[in-house]
Amino acid sequence: MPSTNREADGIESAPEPFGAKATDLDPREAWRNEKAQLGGFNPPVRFTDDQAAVLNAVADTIIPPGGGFPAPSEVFIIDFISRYVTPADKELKYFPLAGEAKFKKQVDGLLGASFADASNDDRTATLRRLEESDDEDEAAFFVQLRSLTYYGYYARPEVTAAIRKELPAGREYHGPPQPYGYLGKVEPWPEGRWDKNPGGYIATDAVTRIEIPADIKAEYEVS
Amino acid sequence: MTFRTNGSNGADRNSTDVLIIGSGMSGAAFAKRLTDAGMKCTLLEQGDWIRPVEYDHFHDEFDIERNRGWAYDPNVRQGPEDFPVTGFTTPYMINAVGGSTIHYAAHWPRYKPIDFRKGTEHGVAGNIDWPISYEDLAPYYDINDAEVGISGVHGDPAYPPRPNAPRQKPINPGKLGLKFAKGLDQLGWHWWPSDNGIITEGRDGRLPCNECGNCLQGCPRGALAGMDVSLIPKALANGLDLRTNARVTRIVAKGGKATGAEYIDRVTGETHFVSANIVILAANGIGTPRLLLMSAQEGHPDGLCNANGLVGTHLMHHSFAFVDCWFDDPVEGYLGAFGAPLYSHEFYHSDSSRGFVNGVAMQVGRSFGSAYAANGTHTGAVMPWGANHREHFNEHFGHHLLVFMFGEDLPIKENRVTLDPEVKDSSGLPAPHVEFNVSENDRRLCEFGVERITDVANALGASETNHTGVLSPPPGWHLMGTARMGNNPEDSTTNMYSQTWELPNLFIADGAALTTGGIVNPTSTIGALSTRAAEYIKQNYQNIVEQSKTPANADAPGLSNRELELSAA
Ligand SMILES: Cc1cc2nc3c(=O)[nH]c(=O)nc-3n(C[C@H](O)[C@H](O)[C@H](O)COP(=O)(O)OP(=O)(O)OC[C@H]3O[C@@H](n4cnc5c(N)ncnc54)[C@H](O)[C@@H]3O)c2cc1C
Repeated sequence: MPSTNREADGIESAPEPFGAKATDLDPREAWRNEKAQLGGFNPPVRFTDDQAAVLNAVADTIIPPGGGFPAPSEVFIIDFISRYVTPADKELKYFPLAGEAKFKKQVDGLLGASFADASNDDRTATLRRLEESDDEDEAAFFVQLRSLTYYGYYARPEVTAAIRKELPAGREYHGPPQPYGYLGKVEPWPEGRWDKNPGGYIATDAVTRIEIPADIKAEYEVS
Repeated sequence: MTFRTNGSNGADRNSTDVLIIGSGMSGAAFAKRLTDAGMKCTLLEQGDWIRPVEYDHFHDEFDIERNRGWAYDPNVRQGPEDFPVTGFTTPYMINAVGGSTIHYAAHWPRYKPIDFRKGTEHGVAGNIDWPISYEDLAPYYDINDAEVGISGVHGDPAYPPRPNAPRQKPINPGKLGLKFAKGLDQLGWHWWPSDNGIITEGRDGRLPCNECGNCLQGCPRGALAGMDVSLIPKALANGLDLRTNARVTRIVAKGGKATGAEYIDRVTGETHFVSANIVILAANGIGTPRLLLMSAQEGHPDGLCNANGLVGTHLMHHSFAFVDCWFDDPVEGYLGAFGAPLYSHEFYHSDSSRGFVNGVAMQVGRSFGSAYAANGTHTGAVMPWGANHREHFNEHFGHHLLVFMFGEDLPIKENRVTLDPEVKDSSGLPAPHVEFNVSENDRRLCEFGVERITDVANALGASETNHTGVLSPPPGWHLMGTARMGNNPEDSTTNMYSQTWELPNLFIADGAALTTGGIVNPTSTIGALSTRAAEYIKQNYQNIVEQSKTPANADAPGLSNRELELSAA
């Protein structure tokens, strides 16, 4: 079997934005294994207690609770993160392109266990520094943390319930589009107004040569 | 007629009357009409069926899937059924039974008469007139509309009337659609409720739309007119031999005719050859030129149908910019069928005083879910994190409205599809390579369009707007022009009946065949063109099979609309 762990092979990002490789000898295996799965990776990545505490603190700093909205940590954001970080034995090719080994190293090294106990101001400052870092890896790590937090938090039913309760414009929102849809919630067109709309078209035999703007004529060498 | 009878499982499995490559809009329309006529048709599709449970609509985490397995871009999805596309491009397509109609928005506008006459109107860049007119195509739009199932409202003064195209009641606009229409009314500008390939009443065993808003991720209800739920089942009932996971490696030609095609069964890895009297290439505006180029062989050193060097050139996508608008009052963009609730063609026609040729359209879209909103909705305006997040989210979610700035782009010879010598798909076949640059005319047109949309937003008192500017490369959801229909073997790849100039029994009527792009989504026109070419085959099968040379447009056996009416009755 060719190795599929590009991260372990030293290929950090996904520079090859391409499909299954010509080295995937058995296409049946590629069909089953290589399609992105709904719900992320199963089994998920396992984090240590310290790492989980840090990631919870990150998410709670990115989206502070309040105004009727729960904290990300309260709605198990860690569960989402562990399914959307790519496990070490899987090829790193899906958004948000966070591979287990490197991601954990960054959680430990760039944030560290002490992050979980730091004040909100200090945590904010640390995250801001990563966000604004000139180091591409650090800046990319921040974007991964933010993406995981935003996508994970707003996917939680508790958060959808808060949106319905707290926001007048979100009163109808129910999260997953199906099976309910929004029948009866979408206003129809008013009856019988159509004769008021302006508009016209040029008939086939009425098409004539227009004057072409001079610089466009020159740009495209129209004679 | 002398074509064979239906039934695919007999001894003669590897020889057929008509071999179709690709099961998107074009392939499905051919399959439906030709099996209706009793022809033996084999369809080769590199993808598989998408099953309802595979859709993301039932999942709390549906929004993130837009970036993963349900991305529009095969380079992001990276499925084994996909082929990579390299170059300066964001190619959007789906490779599955139904092709890219699996998750299109199904906005279903037609071309206007002038779109067939761009050579006459200005002839800028690679523009030529189509050899056919709107009137030639109109009956086939009607037939295809009737078979696919379209909702909308008759009577748009910006179009010739289309009384024979049945329409179900339109999708509902919601607060969002009503609001933008009000803004257009304030300015006295044209707008009309869109035609959509979204059924609002059940038919053909498909459930009607329940306005869930996730159309661009496909439709597990079958309300959206994916070809997998609309035309393909009808063709299967007629006896279509549909082979999935069947990736065509080349079309074979001999003595000036196509003899069939070779494919790899992606499941077994085996190679097969299917011989055919007629071959239809319907692999889309990138897949079709790729396959023609991959089919270089003796007598066709630069690829099939490419003696004039035009295969892959004149690629068009439409020029695009996205404009996000926010309002103080609720807009509820997360609900309602996406399609397009309405469009404005106020600026459709060329006006030289604007400094460019061609025009722009406004197409109103919706917002998706809360996670998509937080991540910046359509223009990447990612919401702030930290202390300001809650307030910002609360003020923006459900207050958002999207307008697509949609422009006609010029067919430029250098915007083209070639083969990438380095990169291969999972079957070892060369990837297509795309070079696409947005040129000056189309930049000006985009800027003009963004300004006009902003005028509407301002008239409505928008609290905020954000736009992408001219997208370069543009989102490649419309893949057009790379094997175009034309007037003679020098200016095009096919004649007016979709026969390639080089091989009379090889037909192309998919996105690649579109000579110009209009300022409308292309699928209804691809369906009409394919239905028309299928009718031509039906009426002239024997003649076509016996032709040794593709007839000039004036000499082709032609098409009787009388017979068409009789068969429709
Ligand atoms: C996100 C998105 C939104 C869109 N929204 C709209 C819209 O609102 N309105 C509209 O009109 N259009 C829309 N479109 C465009 C629309 O989907 C296409 O215009 C239409 O599907 C093109 O039809 P086609 O037959 O040319 O090709 P496709 O539908 O792309 O079908 C081509 C098929 O050929 C198969 N194929 C390719 N190569 C091979 C091979 N070598 N062997 C075997 N099979 C092969 C592919 O797997 C594919 O299934 C949208 C597209 C996308 C991606």
